[in-house]
Parts: sequence; structure tokens; C-alpha cells
Amino acid sequence: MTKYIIKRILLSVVILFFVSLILYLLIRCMPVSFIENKFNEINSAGNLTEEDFKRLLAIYGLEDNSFGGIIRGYFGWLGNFLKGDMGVSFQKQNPVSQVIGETMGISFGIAFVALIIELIIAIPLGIKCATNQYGKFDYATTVLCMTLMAFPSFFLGNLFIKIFAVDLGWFDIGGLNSGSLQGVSFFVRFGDMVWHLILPITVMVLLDIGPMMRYTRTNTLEVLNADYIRTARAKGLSESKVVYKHVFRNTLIPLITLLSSTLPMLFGGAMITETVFAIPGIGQTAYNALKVGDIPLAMGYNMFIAILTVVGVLLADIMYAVVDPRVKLGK
Amino acid sequence: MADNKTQDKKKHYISRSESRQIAKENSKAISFYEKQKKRKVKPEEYTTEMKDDKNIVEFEDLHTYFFSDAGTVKAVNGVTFSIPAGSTVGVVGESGCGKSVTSLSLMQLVQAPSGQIVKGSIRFKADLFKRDAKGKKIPVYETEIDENGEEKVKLNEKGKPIIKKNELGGNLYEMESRVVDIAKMPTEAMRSIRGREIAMIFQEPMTSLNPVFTIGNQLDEVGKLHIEGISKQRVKERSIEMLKLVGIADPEGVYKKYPHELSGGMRQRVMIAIALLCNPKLIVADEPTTALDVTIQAQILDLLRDIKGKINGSIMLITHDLGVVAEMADFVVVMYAGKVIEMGTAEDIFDHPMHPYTIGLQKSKPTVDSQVDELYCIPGFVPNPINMPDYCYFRDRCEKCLEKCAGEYPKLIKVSDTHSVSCYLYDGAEVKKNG
Repeated sequence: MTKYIIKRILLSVVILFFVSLILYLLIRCMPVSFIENKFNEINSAGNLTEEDFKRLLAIYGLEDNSFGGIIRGYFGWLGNFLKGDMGVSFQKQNPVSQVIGETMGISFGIAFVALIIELIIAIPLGIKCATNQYGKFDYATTVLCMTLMAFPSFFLGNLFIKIFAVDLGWFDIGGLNSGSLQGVSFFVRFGDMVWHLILPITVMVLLDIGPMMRYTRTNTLEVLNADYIRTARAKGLSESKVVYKHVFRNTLIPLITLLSSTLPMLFGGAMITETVFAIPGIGQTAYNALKVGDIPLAMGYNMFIAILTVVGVLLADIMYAVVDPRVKLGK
Repeated sequence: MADNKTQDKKKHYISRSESRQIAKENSKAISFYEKQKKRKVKPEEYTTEMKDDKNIVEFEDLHTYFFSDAGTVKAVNGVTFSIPAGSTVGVVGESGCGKSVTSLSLMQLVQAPSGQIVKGSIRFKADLFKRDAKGKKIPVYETEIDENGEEKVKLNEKGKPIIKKNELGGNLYEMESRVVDIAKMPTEAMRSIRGREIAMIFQEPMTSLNPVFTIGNQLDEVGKLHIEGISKQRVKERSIEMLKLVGIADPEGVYKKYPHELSGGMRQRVMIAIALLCNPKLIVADEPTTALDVTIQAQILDLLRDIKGKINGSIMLITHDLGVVAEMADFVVVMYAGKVIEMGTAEDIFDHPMHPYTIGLQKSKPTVDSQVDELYCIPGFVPNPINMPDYCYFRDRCEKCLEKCAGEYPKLIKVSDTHSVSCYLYDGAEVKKNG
């Protein structure tokens, strides 16, 4: 087991190397230039000479845009990355690791709560649909989930803002807190934050419930027809025991794998939803970084997601061996 | 003849309106029977009487249909036979003749929702818990004789009455023997019979055990469910005892193992151990040896025979292997296309087969002592199970077909006390044995 994990980690390093290379190439090729945007005004007023501009580019390390220059830039970035330095965000003027660390917390909080709610709703719903296959409940749930799945997140987000925040005025939106909250107790502030986060979390849950529900339903259906379920019934077990012990334990195997791969989503934030609701999470920060061409931050964020994905896949494999006694990791 | 042809053509083709009609009728029928199984009724409603008190199970005119998209498949179409207490009854027939569905009907385990028991009755002599007015089980308490010579309920330190233990280590409750009609029983009531009174061994040992639980877990489950008040320790002891009984050399080791760590024969032994755990009165073995190789087959059959003597119960053995039946069964039921065509003692069927199908089966059996170039085989195919005509289903394959055979399906004719056959050949005077 230990040997297997070490081997997988070494393999991950190779994967991450190529991922970072491709990422760097792509990000450097983005058709936005941070420098041009930033000094646009001075430039158009004619106060910036060609030479000054080139010097500015050199300060940011972007002077050579040929292939060789980009590759050299990549190895420069990689060297720093290996030393634990991801550079300084152009936009925020803070180290990238600090920016990610500051914004990750809130994103994780929201995604975690959303995931838990999602599981609590989607799994029983999927099982109920499977046990009533082709029944009224099954059809109704499927249609509803498919409809929600089909909505783009920005559309559903804005729809909710329009209905619940603007028209009905039930929720305040935009950011995490209302403006005038100086000197109030922690609980009031926390309550205020929850009040702000209900809508975004609801949107996230509604969007993601569909796939999870369908996945549970499909797997449960497959297990329900297995021979060992007939054996369980032949023992005289009650239907609920059959479903929630014998069926569910087997449905859990693919579910756990699916869950482990949600790790990047959990820490990486929901880019669109956070932007729509103006939540200062990592997703929105990354979105802005990409928009303005903040290369170190964009690189840092994407590498963060890449590492989480690799870890998530490894975790899924390990979890697979934990929940399924037939799977042995080795060699 | 022209009529026949158009009918033949129709069998392979369903128009859209017909298909819609079928789907509509199916969903109506299925929801009706599903409701029947979920309804709440008093036990009196499914209590009946046995026709013959020596029997433990009586099937009478059982119909189990599958409501498929292509039409209603009458998998079991009017089956009548009985299982005497303490005997082994073999049910034989080719694949798809309804023998497995008959056994699954007895357990109410027919693949729902498409498969449903439609008509008929399955009478079973069950030992059920006696219930008081509130529907609770009535425990039997330990008694002692006090100084006045009167019988008194024994109390424990806390002043509560001590419940007597039964031979399995669980609480003893007052029982009553009652004949129930399984075909009319709601599933909820059926649960206390499954596993406790009737246990089942399935065809596929490789897939019949849940892969994610240990053998011990799956054995203990039955004990915990049916033996109320049993201690955890005692359940484990009982499970290991059962593993030992079915001839597993290292019961403690196997108890901790997962199914995938055992071979097919071992898994079938575990299945038998699960079946035996509550001392059932009837074991239904649905092709228990089909998936196993020949040496293991013989061992498993020996084990079943051995165990039948130990628990003093009956076995309903379903198989398509005539050799297995000859070796094991006291009575044999031969099924063809959802109907019983011949039944009798093993001697009746093997030494004096009467129905042309049974005779054909016997002829197609390979024998050691005679040399044949090619084995005999019955000509033709089993008829399509949808829209069966009302004449003998074997008519088109029969070598001894009579004029009468064009008429309605022949009834079961009793040729001797034990032997009956459903064929026009034996209708009327000339009842003689085909030695």
C-alpha cells in the first residue's frame, strides 16, 4: 500500500510537470497584456516611450514573447515554484500563495456546505427513484433534475437574484457582509454572512444535484438486480434493510470514487457562481486574474487546481480499496 | 392451415397500437398486484386448510405471469403438486419451463414488478408466532414452584420475569401452527417465513453472496433477524456451528473472510449454512449444483441429503439434471412450458415414464452400459411462451400424437395412487405401464 502510494506520488510529479508546462504556454499566449492595460492611459497621453514600455515589460519578465523566451520564462517560473515561491500577483501586489490562502477559506466553506446539502438530498433521492423505477416519483424527480442541470449557472444565479433579492427582497446579495457592521458581535456578523450565502449555496446545490442523483439512481438500479439482493430478501430482511444495508453499501463504491474527484471543486471555488454573487472567493479572484492577464496568479491558481485533481484521483483509488474488499492496491 | 399461418406471422410482429395496448394493460395489472402485496390484512384472510395433512406445501393451480412488453408470459400456468413432510421433491424440466419461477413464487421472490403471482394458491403449514390483542408476540416465562407448591413465574434481580430460552438460544415465544396461503400473503407477513421457515439456495453461488460483507456478517444477519433475544456471542457460535455442519474445515477463518476469497463450492456451502441457520422446515434448492463442477456437485448433493436427515425437514430440489433427481428425490414433478405434465415417485418416473416428453427425456440421457453413436433428441422447439394455444403444448413435437390432441389441454390423469400424467394417450381404459 505504502509502496503503491509512493509510486503514484512520483508519477504525479511527472504529470504535474507537463501540466504546468502546457498551462504556462497557454497563459503566456493569452490575448491580454497586464502591462498594456495598466499603462494604457499614460501611453495614450504620449508620456511613455517605446523604451520605457520595454523596460516595464522586462521588469514583469514578459519582454520576450518568442517560443524560446516563453520556455525560458517557464523554467524561471518552475525554479521559483520548486523553491515554494509562486511569484507576486501583478494585480494585488501580494505573493500568490498569500492571495490563494486568503481567498480559499470562504470558497471552501461555501463549497463544503453545498456538497453536504447536495449529498443529503441527492443520495436518498436517487435511491428512492431507483426503488420506484418508472413510477411517478421517478419521472417527476428526473424531469426536475434534468431541468436544473440544463440551466447555466450564471442564468440561474441571476434569476435567483432577480426573484429573491431584487423583487422579493428576502436576501441581500453582493459580497459576504452588509456594509455597516462595525463593532457588532461575532454571532451577528456570522448570521449576516449566512444570510448572504443562502442564495449562492442554493444555486450551487440545485445545479449539482442532478448528476449526483442520476449517478446514485443508475448504480442503485444495477445493484438492485444483483443475485445477492435476492439472497438478502430470501433471508427475510425488511425492504429498508435490504436497500439501505445491502444495496447502499454496494452503491457507495462508485459514489465514493465520484466524491473523491470533487476535491478540486471543493477548494477551487465555483468561478461563475462566485462572480455572479460577488463573493470574494478564490474562484472570483482567479476569474479576475485571467481577465486582466495576471500571469503569476493565474498560474498559481491553475497549478493549485491541478495538484488537487491529482491528489483527488489518488484519493479516489485509495478509497476504492477501502470500501471494496475485492480491490487490493499493490505492486 | 391458412389461419395458423397468419397467427404465426403475427407472433413475430407487434404493431404500435398493439404495443401500446399491451403496455397499458401491463401497468394496470402490475399496479393491481403490487397493491395486493402491500395491503394490510388480518392473518385470518390468508389462513386456509391443507388438503392433505401429511403435506407441508401444496401448490394448487398456481399461475405466475410476467407482464412483458411483448405480451404476457405465462411462466407458471396452472401448476398443482404437493411436497409431503420429510421428503425430497425434485422438479425437473428444461430451461424456461417455469420450475425456478415456481420455487420463487413459493418465496414470493419472483422478479417484481413485471413478474406476479396471478392466480391459484400455495398452501404452507407454518409455525407462526402467537400474537396478543396488540399484535405483540407472547413470551413464555421461566417458572418455579414456590413454597406453597404453586407454579410461579421466576423473576430476575430487577423483578422482571425471565423469558425461557429456546434451543437456538433466543427467547421462547408461544407458537401456533397455521396453514397460510402464500399466494395471498402480503410481503410484510411473508418476511417472517422467509429464512426462518423456508430457506432458499440459489443457482449461482458466485454472485449470491454480497461481495462487500464478510461471510460472518451475512450469516449472523439471519440469526439476529429471526432468533429474537439471542446474544451476539451466541449468534456467532451458531454461525460457526453451521459452517462446521456444512463441512467447512476452517470455520473460524472462513467466518472472517469475504466471499471473493472463497471458491464456488465453498460459497455454495456458505449459502447452505445460511439456509440452515434457523432450522427451516423446507429448503428450496434452485439448481444448487448447476454452476459447480462434477466432484463438487457430488459433495454438495451428499451434504444436502445428510442435512435433510439432521434437520428433519423437506427439500424442494429444482434441477434439469435427471441424474441428480434420480439420486436425491423421493417424488418427481416433470414440468413443460409452465405446466406439470407428469408426476409420481422417483420409481414411477424413472422406471415407468408415461408422458411422451418424459420418455423422450429418458431416452436422451447418455448411459454408460450401451454404445450409441448419437444421442436421441426430442424433435422441435419449446413453443413461444406468449399467446399459448389451448392444446397440449407438446403436440407439435410428439411422436405419439392422437386426433384428440387437437382438443383442449389434457387434464392430469391419475394412473396410480402416486403417479399422474397429463396426456390423452392414457385417457380412458387402456391404462397400462410402459415398462
